[in-house]
This record gives sequence, structure tokens and C-alpha cells, in this order.
Amino acid sequence: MTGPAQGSVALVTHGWHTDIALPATEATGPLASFRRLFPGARVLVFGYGKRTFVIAPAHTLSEWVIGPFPGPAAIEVSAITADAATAYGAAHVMTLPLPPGGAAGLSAFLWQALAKDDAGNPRLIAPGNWPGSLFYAASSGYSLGHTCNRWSAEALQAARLPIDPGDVAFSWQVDDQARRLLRAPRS
Amino acid sequence: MRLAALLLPAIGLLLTACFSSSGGGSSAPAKTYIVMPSGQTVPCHTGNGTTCP
Repeated sequence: MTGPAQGSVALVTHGWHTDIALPATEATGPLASFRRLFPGARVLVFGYGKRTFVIAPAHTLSEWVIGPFPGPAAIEVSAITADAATAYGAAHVMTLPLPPGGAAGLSAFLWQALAKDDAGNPRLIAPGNWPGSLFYAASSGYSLGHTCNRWSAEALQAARLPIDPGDVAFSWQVDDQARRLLRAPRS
Repeated sequence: MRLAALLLPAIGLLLTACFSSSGGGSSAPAKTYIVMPSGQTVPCHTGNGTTCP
């Protein structure tokens, strides 16, 4: 990474799943509208996944069997009043300093990742997994080649971090890259 | 080959489960820090357990 860090992004790991946590002040462009939606938010959190499992969680074997097939995706958006390490536990969070332009790149990626309604607003589709979180339609589809973790890696790459989303499917693959990045000497 | 045929669907299920409320996915942050959204009306989805009028 060249130049002084300008802001940060956090990779939040929940077992098989990863989320992207962005300080609210770093949400620029149209993504800044989420600051108004979540008043007092210090950090905005975004996570990607298959929409079927969001709208109608699988309860039967047949629902689980069709789960891996490609389909529409959703993005869960939530907000917290503390930094990600405090809210989720430091063991689950890696905070990466961003290079110049990184926050803008990440904001643009996240906004583009949200499908829009006719008015150009992110299309809300369901309440989230807990009170305070919301599911929006994603502009890209879910598949085994485009999982939640691949999406997180793409987000970090859009933030101008040297993360390669190419072969990422599992959480530890993006986690390992982020960990290596944290250990790398800064220039 | 047979092992791969068994493993691939299993891996697929686990990857999909990365977003299932019953199979993992995002975990809620500590309740103290959650910000409630303002002014958003969530559409009705009976499949999600949302109460429809």
C-alpha cells in the first residue's frame, strides 16, 4: 500500500460467513444515505447471501438441497454505535487501513451492489436476521462461484486493497488474505 | 469420484448456509450497539414470518 492510510474497513468473520464494516463517515456518494437511515451510526455493516435463505429460511431437506443452486442474492445492512471489534468481539474482526481513494471505491462498490427500485433507491425486501437489520435485493446473483465470502473479497478489492477475490469461496480464504495484509510491512 | 460426488453437495450446502438464519450467516452485534433504522417500511413477506395485514 502506498501513501498514508485514509480511513479503514473491517472484515467481520462469523464462522462460514463474512461481513464488511465501514465507518459511517467513510460512506460517500449515494451510500451516505444509510447514515440518515441509521441515525447515530458509527459503523455500517454489509453482508451478502442467497435471497431464498433470507426470505424463507430452509426448514426441509428439499429446501436445503436446492440451496446451492444459483439464484438471486440479498444484502443485509445494519449499523452499530461502536467500532466493529467492540460490537462483534475483537477475535472476529480485522480492521484494515485504507489507501487513498479506498473508502470512495468501497462506497461505490457497495452502492452498486444494491439493486434499485424505480426511484433509484435500494430495494428493501425483508426485515433482517435481528431487529435493526434490513435485507435489500442485490444487483448480482448468488452461486457457488459467487458466495458471501467472494463478495466480501470483491468489496475489499474495490477498496483498493491488494485482495484477490478470484478463488475465494470460504471465509478463511478471504480471512487469510486480510491477515497477510495486516502483517505486511507498510510502505 | 464417489467421494467428490458426496463432498461437493455438502460443501455447497455449507456455503449456502452462510446466509441462513438456521445455518449460520451474519451474527448480531452486541445489543447495546445496535442502531435501529428510521423511516423504513419493510414489505410483507409471509414466507419470512412477517405478519401480513
